[in-house]
Amino acid sequence: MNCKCGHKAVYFKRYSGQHLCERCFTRAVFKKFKDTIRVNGLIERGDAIVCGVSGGKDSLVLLHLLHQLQEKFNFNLIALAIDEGIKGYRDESIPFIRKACKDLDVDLYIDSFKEKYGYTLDEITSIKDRVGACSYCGVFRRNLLNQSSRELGATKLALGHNLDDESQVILMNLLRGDFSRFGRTGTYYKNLHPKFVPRIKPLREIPEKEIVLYAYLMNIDFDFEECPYAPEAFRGDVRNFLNEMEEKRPGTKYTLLKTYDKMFPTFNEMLTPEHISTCETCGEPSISTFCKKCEMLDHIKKNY
Amino acid sequence: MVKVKLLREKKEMDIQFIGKIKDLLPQLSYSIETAVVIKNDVPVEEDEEVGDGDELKILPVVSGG
Repeated sequence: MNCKCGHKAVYFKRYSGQHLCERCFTRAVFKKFKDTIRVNGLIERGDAIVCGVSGGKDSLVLLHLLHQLQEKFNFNLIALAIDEGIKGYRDESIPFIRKACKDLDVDLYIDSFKEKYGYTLDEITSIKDRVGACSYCGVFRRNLLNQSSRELGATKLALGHNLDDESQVILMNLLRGDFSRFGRTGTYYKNLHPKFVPRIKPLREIPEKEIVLYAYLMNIDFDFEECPYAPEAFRGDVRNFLNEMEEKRPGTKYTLLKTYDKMFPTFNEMLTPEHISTCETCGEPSISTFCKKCEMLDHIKKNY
Repeated sequence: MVKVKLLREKKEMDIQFIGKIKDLLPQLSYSIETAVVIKNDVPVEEDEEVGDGDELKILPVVSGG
């Protein structure tokens, strides 16, 4: 099939019935990214944006798009990578990050669990009596991304979550009955604590498949590997279900996200804590006396 | 024969196939939602016909995490 401009299509956008050539496709991805930012006011002139990068497709595409947006918009851009200490995975993805930052001339900072907390994720998972690797990794990574981006002077922390990631989380929370998590992720964030750097997700309306194709067309080298600790079985099931639905009923993922977005202000109002205090051990924002990260670290120290 | 390169699995194989990409993908344990297909170095839509002498690269949609 041909694109409406007459060139051969490289992609069929099933949910809108459009056949797109290379040029129209890459423009459409940039437009979606730009519109998400504009409509939700995610970036303002003069912002200092720290982009969390993992070496995977999502974060490197995000870095490229942000870099491209800088031509139209005046803001600062820095890349931040977190080395969790996952042998055979993260050590192999870091060269992709270095290359992308060098190509785009973006400053890169790398922080590690080992340096910051004293243990690699591989070491943490060697203890007896532990929870899942993703629980430690999620808590530590969120904490370190926030703290490091704040120290780098960030006004926003940009993350590469795509439409598939977002729609999976919405459905997972719903199926698990995890109501308290609703209202945490959305198009905007209330500034609950001066030590929290607001997180923005400019790719949340772009399907994962389009991100892979965009990376290929723009010659963005990325790591194809999947984290060895990853796929939680539950997320895998939800992902398969959403993919089957999307195949039968194109637009399912987007509709799910948009429905959630409509409900988000109510959830956010209802579920956001009134007050966030500070962890007595590390001084980072926390809803209880000690933050989750410090609780986990304490447990690891006792069991390592 | 169609030459197929699976980038995630780092595998190459020759497959006897003539037809649309969307009908080939399930044989490779992929679907239109989980693969981006490059035919003779150009990305193609799922209705693209493939046959003798074509070379396909299969890029997995899911990675990272």
